[in-house]
Amino acid sequence: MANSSVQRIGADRVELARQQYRHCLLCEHRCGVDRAGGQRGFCQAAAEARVYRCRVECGEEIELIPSQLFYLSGCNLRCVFCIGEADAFDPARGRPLTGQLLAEAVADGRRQGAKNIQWVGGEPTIHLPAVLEAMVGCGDLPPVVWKSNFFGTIEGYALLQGMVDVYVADLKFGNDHCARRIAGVERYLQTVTRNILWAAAEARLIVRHLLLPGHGACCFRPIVDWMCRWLPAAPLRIMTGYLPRWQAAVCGELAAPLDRQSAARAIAMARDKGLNVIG
Amino acid sequence: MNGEDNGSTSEINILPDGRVCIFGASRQVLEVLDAIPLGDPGLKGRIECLRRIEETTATEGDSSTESICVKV
Repeated sequence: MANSSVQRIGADRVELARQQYRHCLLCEHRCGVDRAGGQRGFCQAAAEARVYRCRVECGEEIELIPSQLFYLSGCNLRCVFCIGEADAFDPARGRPLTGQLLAEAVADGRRQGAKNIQWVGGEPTIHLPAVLEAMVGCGDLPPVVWKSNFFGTIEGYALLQGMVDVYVADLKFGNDHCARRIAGVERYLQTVTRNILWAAAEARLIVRHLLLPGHGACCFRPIVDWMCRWLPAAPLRIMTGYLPRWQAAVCGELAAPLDRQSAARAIAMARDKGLNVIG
Repeated sequence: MNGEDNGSTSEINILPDGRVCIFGASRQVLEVLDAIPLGDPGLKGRIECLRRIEETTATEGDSSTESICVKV
């Protein structure tokens, strides 16, 4: 993607996006709070984005590596097993994201061989206005990857139209009950599947699912069935390295790592169904 | 960003069954792990992909970033 697209979209889009800070509807919590005026919603984020980590990584999906990841603090979910823990949930962590910070980091990432920049979290969608402003203010950008839990609103994601080359969607749960119990959100499945289909029509899409111990039948299998029906050709990365972190022990079945056999069975099942399973 | 903001340390967890989980893997970390006989074909494939990217970049003589899709 030519970075000139980012520039063309530019100032008008940034201004439109910043209106969300006055009445935030960026995600399906639909808090409607005035973040610029000091109010805080579910994610507790203010009207700025903070980067708590930035590095070039080679453990991402192979077609994306080496990828320069920008980790934004703050999230609109509360997954009890989150590996990011306090950094992910506390939007006050890290340095403020600015165009200058982004430009300097991108230059450094290029020197290290990064082929793209990737916005991750926490959840970058809650910081969409600040990210847009930084990208527009940065100038020369490599291709843009947006990794999201896709619990945002359509009107929020629409602000990214034309600015993202690859969406990476974390499809975490296969039903609303598990999403409510483990991540504290309602209407999960309808929201996330709607948004993932939107992303598939907008740009290249990669879907990821972290296998959770004890959730093969209730979560993984429905996800496979959904992918077979709606996105049979989309790359699907099945992550098998689940580790019990943060408050995972609250949900008893999540208190231990995923066993090797479950991981192998899951991957085999997805492949047998004809899905495009990637490493 | 550098120093304390970089978070350049990779996190490696070794599970009781011997599997190795890595969070935040740089190329150098992958190559260190490749020197250990972990028996993971995915790891070798990943490193080979990175080497091909490096060779392609060196041959082209630029740091073109127009394409992010690398077929393995």
